Amino acid sequence: MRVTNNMLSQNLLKNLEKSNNRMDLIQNRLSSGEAITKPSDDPVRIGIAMRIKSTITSMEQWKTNASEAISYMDTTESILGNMTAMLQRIRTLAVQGANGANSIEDRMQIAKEIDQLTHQFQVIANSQVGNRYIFSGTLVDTEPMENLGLGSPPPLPTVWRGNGEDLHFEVGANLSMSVSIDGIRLFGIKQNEDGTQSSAFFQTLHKLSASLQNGIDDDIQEALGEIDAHLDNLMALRSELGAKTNRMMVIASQLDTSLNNLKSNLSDVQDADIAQNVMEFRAIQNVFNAALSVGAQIIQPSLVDFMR
Amino acid sequence: MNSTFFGLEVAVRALATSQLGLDITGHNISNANTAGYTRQLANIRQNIPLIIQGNGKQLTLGTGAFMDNVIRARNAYIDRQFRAETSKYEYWAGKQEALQKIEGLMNEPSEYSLHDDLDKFWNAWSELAKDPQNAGARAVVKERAMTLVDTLHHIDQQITNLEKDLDANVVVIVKQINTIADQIKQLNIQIKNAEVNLDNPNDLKDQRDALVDELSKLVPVRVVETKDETFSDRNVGIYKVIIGNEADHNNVLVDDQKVRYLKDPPPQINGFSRVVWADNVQTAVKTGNSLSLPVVIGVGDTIRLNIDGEVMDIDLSSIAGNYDGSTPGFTLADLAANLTTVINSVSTQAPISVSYTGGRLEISSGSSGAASLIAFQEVSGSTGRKFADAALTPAGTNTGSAAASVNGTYGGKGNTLTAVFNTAKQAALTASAALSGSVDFTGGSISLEVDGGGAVPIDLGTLVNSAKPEKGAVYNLNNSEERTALIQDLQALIDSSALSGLVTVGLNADNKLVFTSANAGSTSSLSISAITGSATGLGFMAATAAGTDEGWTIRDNDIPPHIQTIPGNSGGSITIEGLTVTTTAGAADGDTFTIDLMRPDAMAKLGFDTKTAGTWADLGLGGGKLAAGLEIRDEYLEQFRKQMDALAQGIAKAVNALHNTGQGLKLEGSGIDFFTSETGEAITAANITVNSLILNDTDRIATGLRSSILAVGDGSVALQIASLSQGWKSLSSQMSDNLFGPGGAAPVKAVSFGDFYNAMIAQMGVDVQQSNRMSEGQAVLVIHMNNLRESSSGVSLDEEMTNLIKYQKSYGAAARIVTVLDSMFERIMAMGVTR
Repeated sequence: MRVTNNMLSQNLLKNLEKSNNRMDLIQNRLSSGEAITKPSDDPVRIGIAMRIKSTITSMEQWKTNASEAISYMDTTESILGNMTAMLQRIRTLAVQGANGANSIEDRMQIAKEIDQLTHQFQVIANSQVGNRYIFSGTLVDTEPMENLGLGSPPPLPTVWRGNGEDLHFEVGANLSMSVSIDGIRLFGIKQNEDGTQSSAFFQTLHKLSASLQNGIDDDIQEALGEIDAHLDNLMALRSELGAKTNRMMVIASQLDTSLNNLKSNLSDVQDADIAQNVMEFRAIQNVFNAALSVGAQIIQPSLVDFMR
Repeated sequence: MNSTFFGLEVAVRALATSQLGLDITGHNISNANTAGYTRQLANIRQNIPLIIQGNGKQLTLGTGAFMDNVIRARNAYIDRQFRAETSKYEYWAGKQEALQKIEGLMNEPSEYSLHDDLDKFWNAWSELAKDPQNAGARAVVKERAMTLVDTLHHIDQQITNLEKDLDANVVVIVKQINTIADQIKQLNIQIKNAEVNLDNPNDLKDQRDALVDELSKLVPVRVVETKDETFSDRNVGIYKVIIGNEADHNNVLVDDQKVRYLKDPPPQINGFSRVVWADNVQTAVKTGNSLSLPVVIGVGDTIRLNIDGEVMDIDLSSIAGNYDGSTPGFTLADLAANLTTVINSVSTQAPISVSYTGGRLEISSGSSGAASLIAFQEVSGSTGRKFADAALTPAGTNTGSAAASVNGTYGGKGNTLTAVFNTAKQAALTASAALSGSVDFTGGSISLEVDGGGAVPIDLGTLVNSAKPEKGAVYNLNNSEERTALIQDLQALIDSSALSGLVTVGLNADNKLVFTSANAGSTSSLSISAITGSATGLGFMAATAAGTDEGWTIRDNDIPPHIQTIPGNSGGSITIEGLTVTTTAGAADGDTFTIDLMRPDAMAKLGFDTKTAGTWADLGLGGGKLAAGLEIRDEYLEQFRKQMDALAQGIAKAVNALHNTGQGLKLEGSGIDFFTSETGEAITAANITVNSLILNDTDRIATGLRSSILAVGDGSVALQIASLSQGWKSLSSQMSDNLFGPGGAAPVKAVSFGDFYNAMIAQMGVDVQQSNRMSEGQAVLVIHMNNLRESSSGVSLDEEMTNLIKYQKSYGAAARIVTVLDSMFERIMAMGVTR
């Protein structure tokens, strides 16, 4: 083939341009640390990377939700723990009061302590985590119980403003878990026919206090039985909460593991292999340098240089 | 014996020939770097020999050389290939440029992309679901939604800008093609003049070839050179340039000394420039598909026609009937004739004719020329119906004194509009429990707030039973006398407080207390809070109620519905989804009217689809910058926009469907949309926006299920919306109601919005990759063809130098002959001198 001077220079130019493009590409990979930076680099891998990124974003949110849920449930659990201790104290007092050897004064003293504890239970019924009433169901801005104050025997609550709905936290794909304790179950709230509400829990305490003051042993025995039932109920709710906390922790640690895996997957998919790219860059640089130095030599000489 | 001076003649010719050779070499060297230059070769021929008589025989004596002509070292076959590859290269490079712009605009994958905005939007809902009361989390949802909407707007705007750029390019390219055609024509004239004079104008031909090369970048080109038979004794060429589709015989751009121009500026149809021949005088004809009998046209059937840019909706009610093809008056020819009449009664264009031939209907525009166009536009489904002062009947019904008219094009999805008139209402709260039992109100207190004037506590302990004053604050509510007394006493108690005259106490048929505010209208509100002690005996729970204004509430039956109101009772108009509804004054409470929006589309019945018919210049496939621009503008970007619209619409519909089931920190009578359309038309990426009600008051972001009680801790609706990031599980009931399309279709055709978008991006990636690869591959081919062409036509300096030496030496040698002859003549002359 006949080769002309223009062909030489044009081809050299094209080849240099090609090397430059290639160097630019590798340069980009090395400086960004990413093997693929735009969809056209590798549409399939970009699709995978985007999906993984979405999942990571969601999972991070779920992880935050799960740890908030755990701390919410921990607070609830400590309140329930207090309630158990208090209820056990009341049981002890009730057993003590049921002893026929007690004088009236002794029983009055016992009743007084029970009244104090009952008042404390009323305060607990209105406990808040943050600005949320935890036993109100989803009516978190409403005090579930009226403020009755001390009384002997303790006044009975007639209204319960909470509902029995659960609070849900999202902790997975289409997975949300209840983190709340149902106040209605906890305090044995019943809807009366006249539109008021009553609490079996407080009724028992009321009955106990009244029967101690009046010395009605049968009622004390009956109240004792009811207290045991309430203790069982409390225990059941606590173990339920414990199970939920446990499950939440499992979910949180699963999310952690999955996040780690996903992040390493993402890195596999989109991160550049530095060593390989540096090698490739060197190879291209050599070609480029060679092309430059040879180019400088081949373009110049022609017959013109030798004619004098 | 030949002439004495014969040798001198030969030498002179040799000198002249060598000199011309040197000139040509000089010309080649001068143009070594000229684009489009073809190296020229000196065609040196032997002169006609001289026959002389000598020694009894004929002797043929050479008479030297002469320059016959100068030829170009050009290969027409390589030219043709070079141009074909150039066209393809420019086509892919053009596509690559546009596609890379789209790729850049999407900015994927990065922290500032639609994908990221979407993820953050869903997360904001998840965050809100945990604590629906949190004003901060509400603000975040609003801001994320605004960001999402802004990004969608930005993308749509960029698509529009890109379309405009490409369209402007089309105008420029059409001008370039015309200019090049003109120049080729001029050169054709000059070359022909030279050729008639037996000349071979190499440099003019080079210029012409360079122009055709230039043209091949814009459109596919083919050159046809034939001999002009008018000149039988000499070689005169006819030079034709054909652009676009080679098979189309109408595509001759330059026919020797004639040019067929493209229409400049190109006609604009539907906002875009169309490439058409300036002398195109065909009418647009659109042929339908085969019709099957009978063709039944019903009352209310419409077709939407676009003729030469005018969009018209044609109501076929007047030609309704069962066209069975045989009954007189109902043959398909009659149908065609009827259509002609009804279309022309609406159209302001030149008379349009519909004919029936070969089992199909054919419609042709009355105008002919470059901009003639016919298109059927889709009105299928239930969208885009046009109402021009349609009467309420027969399309609708009304009760009471209601009267309304509608006008405009309906862009919503419902198929009926329902309107109800309400007079202004006060805010009223009804107790949740009936009055019953014996209640001692001592120690009870209830807080009331009217029209936002601050909560006023009412101490129920001060009540005195007016029926039985001896009972004090104790009422037996099972006794009707004491119930009535309670209402009176309560009213008196409230009237003695700061709320005097603002609240009316009443009792409804269920024995439930009703508190009503004195003022009417949306400014009226009533709320009850802090019900303490025995106040619960009134049967109230904490609640808020708002009054309503007087006016028409108009809604369509889409889910979620589009609701608008016309306030007041003096008549007025509003626009709902593009449709203007005007009501008359004097409506009574409870008046209603409904409007049937179903206007069936008869396009398919007539065998027509939605394609456009017209006569554009056929630019061929896959060649040239112009075709690339047109393809991206008309197909790729349209498709891309449709997908973005589908995404925006899908997100809006899915979020709205869930949002409508809920309420936030304010009681909602009926649900509200989260996303709305800026223009009132169907939601697209361009017009999607966050409902202004939510922008003004983030308390209205729905988080919990709608009910008469504010359960502010209920995050179930927010949770459902958040879980849209994972798929359609939370939409299962809406999907089984076919809200997003028949057969339980999902909001978009994918397993989730993220998936839909990812597929879009991946497809775009593949397209960019293809255009990158193709343009890279084509570039190699172009270089290869260019090398081949250079190889035959390019100037090699070495070669020219060799020629230089060759001609220089032969010139020197010829001069030498002259010198020799000169000395010979001297000798001869000397012979005659006597000493």
